[in-house]
Amino acid sequence: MIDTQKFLQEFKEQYVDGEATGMTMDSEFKKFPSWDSLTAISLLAEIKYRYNVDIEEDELNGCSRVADVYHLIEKKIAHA
Amino acid sequence: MHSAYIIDTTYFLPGILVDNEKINAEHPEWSVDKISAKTGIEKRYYAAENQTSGDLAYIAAEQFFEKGIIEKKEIDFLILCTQSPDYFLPTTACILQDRLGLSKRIGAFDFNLGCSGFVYGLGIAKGLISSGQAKNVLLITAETYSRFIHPDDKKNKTIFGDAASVTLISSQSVTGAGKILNFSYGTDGSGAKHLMVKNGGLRHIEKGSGEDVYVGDEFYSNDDYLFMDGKEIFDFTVFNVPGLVNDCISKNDISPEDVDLYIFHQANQFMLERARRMSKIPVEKFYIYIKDSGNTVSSTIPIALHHAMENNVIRKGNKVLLCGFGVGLSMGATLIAY
Repeated sequence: MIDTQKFLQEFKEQYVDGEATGMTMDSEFKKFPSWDSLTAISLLAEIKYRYNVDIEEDELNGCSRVADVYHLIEKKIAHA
Repeated sequence: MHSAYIIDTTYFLPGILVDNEKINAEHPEWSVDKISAKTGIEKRYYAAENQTSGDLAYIAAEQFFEKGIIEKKEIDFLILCTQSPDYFLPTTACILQDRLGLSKRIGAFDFNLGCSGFVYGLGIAKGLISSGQAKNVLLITAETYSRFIHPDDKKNKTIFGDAASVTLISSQSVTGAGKILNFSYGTDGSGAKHLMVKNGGLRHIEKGSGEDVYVGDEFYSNDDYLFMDGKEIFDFTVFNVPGLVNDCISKNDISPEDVDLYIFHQANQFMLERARRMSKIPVEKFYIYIKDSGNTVSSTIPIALHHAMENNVIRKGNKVLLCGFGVGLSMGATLIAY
């Protein structure tokens, strides 16, 4: 099990100027103002680094809430 | 074996200013300021329509000689790093030997590398000097990547700019010189396709045959122009640079704490910050100079080095780690002792 608090913290760190301070697992992460393709690339690199899980950009496009990404990682780890 | 020293570095930016307002005007749907907050880039400069890499190199070199550090006749080797040469052949460095009025008894050649090129150039220069083949090597980096950028490619437009830099590497040290120590190199040609201008070389000779590919409304690629897969380059950098930096540190028999300053290729601030964190480098030891010139490919490290020297960020006794990475895919790192 990935620690949700730690995961959320890592997720928040992808955003500039602390704009994602209030982010929760239910937040729609693409709706924060600084979200863009660079944020996506950085987030995917972070996930690969932390959890050794490869997520494609298309798969990320299919996620809307932070929890969706979390579950996708858990699923990939379980099937690894 | 002779030691090799970086004596001085200077650079030239061409005259066409491309600021964020200009890019915004060309792409009103795009918030360049928002992007700028991440790339750290506010200005880039493009070469004029009739201006080549050879021209930028020529101007940069003439400005360098005007400083009076060395006379032209003392230069005994000229190496030029470029991926946008004036001709297929001859090598632009040979033309520069004549234009600059350098001795005819010198060696001169181009080498083709991008963002790792400056570090490789230092490696070549050190090799020439330490083996006794040369005493004063002029290393020039010059690119006009602006020629490779598709008019609709707003992503690459926000990042790249044109420039040339000139560095003198000599066998004799002077005050303020930096001794070039040991190197680490890395290459992964399997990633060549991720950063490429496909058409125009002999494998795909027909420039003009490329077709515009859009994903939704957004420009994706045209084989006549520069293609960069941002994700692949980002991953290559953040997953390989930390290992290269560590390897360079151990090849120089020091520990990470002994490095006073890190100057990486100034690709974009967002990726640099991630590479810094993954390399566990403290922010105060990580030099950034990108806002006013952008990603000038092989010139970013010498431009940053120039400013770090000028602003006394680098002092006597400092050890500075230089690291370049990018197209190839290629990377290199070295340590300079001041």
